[in-house]
Amino acid sequence: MLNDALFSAPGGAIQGTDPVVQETHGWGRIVRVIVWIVGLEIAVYGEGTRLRERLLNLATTGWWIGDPDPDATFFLPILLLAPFCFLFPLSGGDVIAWFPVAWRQTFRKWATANHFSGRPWSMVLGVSLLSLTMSWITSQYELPGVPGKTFGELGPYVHDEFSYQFQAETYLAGRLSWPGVPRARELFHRMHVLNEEHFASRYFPATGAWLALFVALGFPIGASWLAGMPTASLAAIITRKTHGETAGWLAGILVATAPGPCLFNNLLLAHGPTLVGLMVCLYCFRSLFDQLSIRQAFGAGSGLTLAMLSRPLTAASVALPFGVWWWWNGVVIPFRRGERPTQQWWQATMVMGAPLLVSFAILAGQNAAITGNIFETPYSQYNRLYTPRHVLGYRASDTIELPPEHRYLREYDEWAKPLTWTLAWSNLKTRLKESLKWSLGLIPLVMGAVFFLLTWRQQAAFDRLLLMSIVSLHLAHFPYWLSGMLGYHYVFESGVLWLMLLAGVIVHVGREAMTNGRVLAPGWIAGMIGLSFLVNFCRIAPGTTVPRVITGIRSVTHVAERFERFRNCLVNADVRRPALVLVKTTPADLHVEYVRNRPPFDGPLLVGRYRPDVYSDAEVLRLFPERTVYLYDSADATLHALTSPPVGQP
Amino acid sequence: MTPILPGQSPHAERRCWLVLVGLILPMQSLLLAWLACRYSPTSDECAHLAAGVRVLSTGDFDLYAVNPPLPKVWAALPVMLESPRVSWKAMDPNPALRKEWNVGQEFIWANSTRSLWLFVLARWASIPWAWLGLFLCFFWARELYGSLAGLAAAGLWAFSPAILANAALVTPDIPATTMGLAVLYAFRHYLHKPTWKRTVLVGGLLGIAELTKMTLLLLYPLLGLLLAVSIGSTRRTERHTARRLSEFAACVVVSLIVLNAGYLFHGTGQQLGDREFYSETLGGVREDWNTPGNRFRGTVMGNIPLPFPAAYVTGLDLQKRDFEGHWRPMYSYLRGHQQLGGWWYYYLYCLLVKVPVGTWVLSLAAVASLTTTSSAASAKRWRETALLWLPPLLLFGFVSTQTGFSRYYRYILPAAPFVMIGLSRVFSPCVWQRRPWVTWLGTSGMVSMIVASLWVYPHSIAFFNLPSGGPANGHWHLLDSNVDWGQDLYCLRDWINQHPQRRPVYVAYSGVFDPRVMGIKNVLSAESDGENSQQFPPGWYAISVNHLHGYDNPEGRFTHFLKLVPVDRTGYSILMYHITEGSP
Repeated sequence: MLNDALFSAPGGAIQGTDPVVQETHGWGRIVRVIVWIVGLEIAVYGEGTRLRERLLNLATTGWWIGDPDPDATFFLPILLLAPFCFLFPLSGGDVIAWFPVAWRQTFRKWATANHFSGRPWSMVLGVSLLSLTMSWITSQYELPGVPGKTFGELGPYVHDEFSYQFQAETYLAGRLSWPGVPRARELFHRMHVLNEEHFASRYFPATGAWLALFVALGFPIGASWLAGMPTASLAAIITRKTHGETAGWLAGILVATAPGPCLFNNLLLAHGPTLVGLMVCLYCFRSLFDQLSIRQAFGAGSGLTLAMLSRPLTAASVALPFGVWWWWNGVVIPFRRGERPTQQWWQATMVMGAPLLVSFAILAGQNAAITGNIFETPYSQYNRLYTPRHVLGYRASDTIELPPEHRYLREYDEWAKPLTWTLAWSNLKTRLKESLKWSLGLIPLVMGAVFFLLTWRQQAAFDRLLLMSIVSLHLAHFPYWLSGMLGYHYVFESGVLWLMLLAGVIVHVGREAMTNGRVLAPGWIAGMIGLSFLVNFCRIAPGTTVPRVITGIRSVTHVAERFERFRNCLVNADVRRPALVLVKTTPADLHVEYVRNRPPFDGPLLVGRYRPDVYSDAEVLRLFPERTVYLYDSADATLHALTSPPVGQP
Repeated sequence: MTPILPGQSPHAERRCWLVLVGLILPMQSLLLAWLACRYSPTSDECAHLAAGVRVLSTGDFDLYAVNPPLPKVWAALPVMLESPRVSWKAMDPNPALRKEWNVGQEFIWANSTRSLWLFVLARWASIPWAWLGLFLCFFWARELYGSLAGLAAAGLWAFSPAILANAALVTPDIPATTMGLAVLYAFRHYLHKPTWKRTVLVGGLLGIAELTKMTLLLLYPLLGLLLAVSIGSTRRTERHTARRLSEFAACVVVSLIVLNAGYLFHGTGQQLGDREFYSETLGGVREDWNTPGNRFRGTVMGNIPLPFPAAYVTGLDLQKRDFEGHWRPMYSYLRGHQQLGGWWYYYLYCLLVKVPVGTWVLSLAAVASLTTTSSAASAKRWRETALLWLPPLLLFGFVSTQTGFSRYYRYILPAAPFVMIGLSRVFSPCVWQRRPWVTWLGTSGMVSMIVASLWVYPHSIAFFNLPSGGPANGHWHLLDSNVDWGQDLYCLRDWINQHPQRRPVYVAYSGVFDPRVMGIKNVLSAESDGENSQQFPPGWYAISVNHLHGYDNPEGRFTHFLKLVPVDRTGYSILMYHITEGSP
């Protein structure tokens, strides 16, 4: 049943039309000038800062492309050419005559109006394949510090990944948790794994479930690759619905080739299933903009449920503006008219909420099974017991109730800085900046964002909600002390939304330029995107430039080198098994996952933490009489057997 | 095929504008911006920047008085935002001692490696002078020969190696070149339609021009001469000679007001007899040229109040002393020969070796294009020809007669834009219509010039054309700011970084900037230190070509290296030699 009056919001897009007015005079021109100046400002500032640093530190600027700023150096010349490309009158007729007939027709189609080429399956397939290819390409970059190994070969790297993988293994074993470690539990604390009566990942269940099939196949990273495919193709389809075929393709291509998503598509994290869920939710909401449908409402609820069971805060904050919109159109607007919400609206709302209720039930079950309390998640229990500082909010360090010493993961916990307003604000800026950098590039996305904001009133209602989702996601993570992996991973999902908005802006601006006889403008835009891709994935000048994606791989996998050192030490040493290797760490090991034991903790080689504060050497030897106990000192990468101290000594 | 005539329709006009603003301007800006980062501080720049900072921080114009304040103050503006450290210990109350380079060195040491960044800022701030020159070339050529010619003149300006080399520096050469052009452009419009408004504009611009470089004093006689030509070529009934002369006088008065305002009226109106002079012309013959004198003191002329600021007069006087040869021995160098005193043909030779071949081809085309000119002479044609060609000819003639020393090709730089505008006639519609091959020839010359210039970029200071052997052989023709102005220290720093196995590296650098600020060690003095001065321990030697030829110091110890074959070079001004045990 249609409810057009309610669901066609002011400025809402109608399929097949461009909602932004076709106007480049007056305010439109000013907007373009402002956008250009902003982009140029970023490039000049970045380049000036880079040159200044080089002069101060190296006393030479070196060659221009030596150690470039990926968000400034190469963009500066292209930005300087923008006025020429956007103002030089070169009509389509002048240029189009150079191209073959088939190309000309495509140009004309592109230039004149939006069009839809029937079913979008080719788009889904094409974008999905591109996403898969890019994920694979990213996995093939050589791992810095570990020669001969590729990024895709050696994972997992990050603590969270190990926890998610363990969760998947637990599910594959038909369990929600394992019995706790039988002896000297404190030696076997794994990061982000609850190690009490129950031994279980602290995370929400959807990610483990998403990974399970591929973990069973022995190819866990396939699950993340898979997640990238529907994310990119749904971004394409959603944008296509608002801005047409070209924008759809562009959004899909941008998402599939974005460096951040390509990198995260090679990590076992919750972002994959979260994004899939959110994109399903957004797709269904986009359809609900056109037509109130029970099926789409159920889809939106289901997508949101998947996201909620992966990263609940992220899911809730992204969905919030859409929830408000739903409520506003369904309740407030009728109420203002003196009407009541329609029966169809109520039905749709209930259908949308049903999967969410199921998800709460699943969570309650998991909580009860692991923590024994349906209201306490393993996540919150883990934080309470091991890392009390790693929580949202402004709590002074001295007011934090510290757990018993033997449970407390001191080094990791004390890594958290006390949150202040200054730190929160700084993190917000970092997250915003890095999310733009890792989603395409700082300059193109800032320019797109500024254009979008300055033409806010002319933008589609759906796109405005997307921007509000981005804002909401940032605000939700505002009171947290860490900006995240790569400076932004808590707002990782915003990158895809930015790219969808950018695709709409680009197609609008490019099409308008073509219509006005500025044929060079689309070429300039393509140049900016092409340059972003080159900066993100290619060595523009071998030996001097590092693709952004390699910088990211280096940042995420810097621990791999230290773990490989440990592994090689074990391989080369004549370790008598069964053995227990205790690892004495240094501050540099904070993010290295040495302890990776799997229940039931009876393997030939167990690795534990060296905690003389809790267990003396003698106690360890007494507790593990059947094992040869070794001590690995990470400071100098040496391994030696622990022996009982002479009688009389502690 | 019917040729499409450029610059005929408003549509084409707009396209030309866009090419200028959208392509040529950003390209030139980028080239200059990078040059500003790639040249180490050149000798004169050290003094200019310190002097600019001194004006802004103390209000005194006494440092480096031979150069008026505008370019250096303009360049120092962004530097002041960085709060540089200043020290004036090296200053001396006696201006004759010319302590500007010592103060410059002190400024550099006070700011250490930060000074490198300060120079970049100052150079970036100087780029707008080049923009102004670009637009003036475009406007003037467009008015004479059409839009395409305007673009050609702008292109010549934007890519000329001489303009690129100097526009990226904190020196007064490009500001003076640009302002000279601006004054004559405004004067041209004044002559076309004389009004009081235009008179004031010319006067104002003339005053600003005088604030850039002393050489532009030549503009006063030049404008007078051009006015005379204009009056002479006008019908008697339309001459209004008295009115023209009074307007000219007003123009001079306005320019003097602006000039004095530029010095904040410091010392304006001092009597001639109260001044202290150091040149022979103004101070009289003395035993010690560093002690002041005044040949007007006690005479009637001594009571005349000077309409110039005190520092300006000091600078003028010191400049005169330099040309008289009373400061220090100023050697001139040409084709491997060094002498006290210059050559009248020095600048002709400079043109021969420093001007790109493409520009010569374009000049040939311009000469050929003269055959398309109608024979009917008109007053306007005379006036335009005089406006375009008198300034460069006069300047060229003037500097060629100053044979006290012949050292700097850049002295004839102010003539360049006029020549560029003149050459652009090759691209005028009438030439294209009547002799298309001339335009094609000019186009090929233009393209060739741009390619040659960019080929040598970013070593534009050391540009020498191909027939002369290119920049690598430039030092066999000319020295000093024509090839080695101390600009290649970054190249040397890079070379040292890239060759960690080549140690020790000894450096004989001829600039004012101290290489030790950049962490370059083993800096050798050019002075001979007795018997062992020709003994060089094994190692790698970076020798500035100025030192190599014993420039300004014929007894310099590094002339020894001329006999050796360099193993490498950093930029074109520093040659690398390898001395091993038993090397000659």
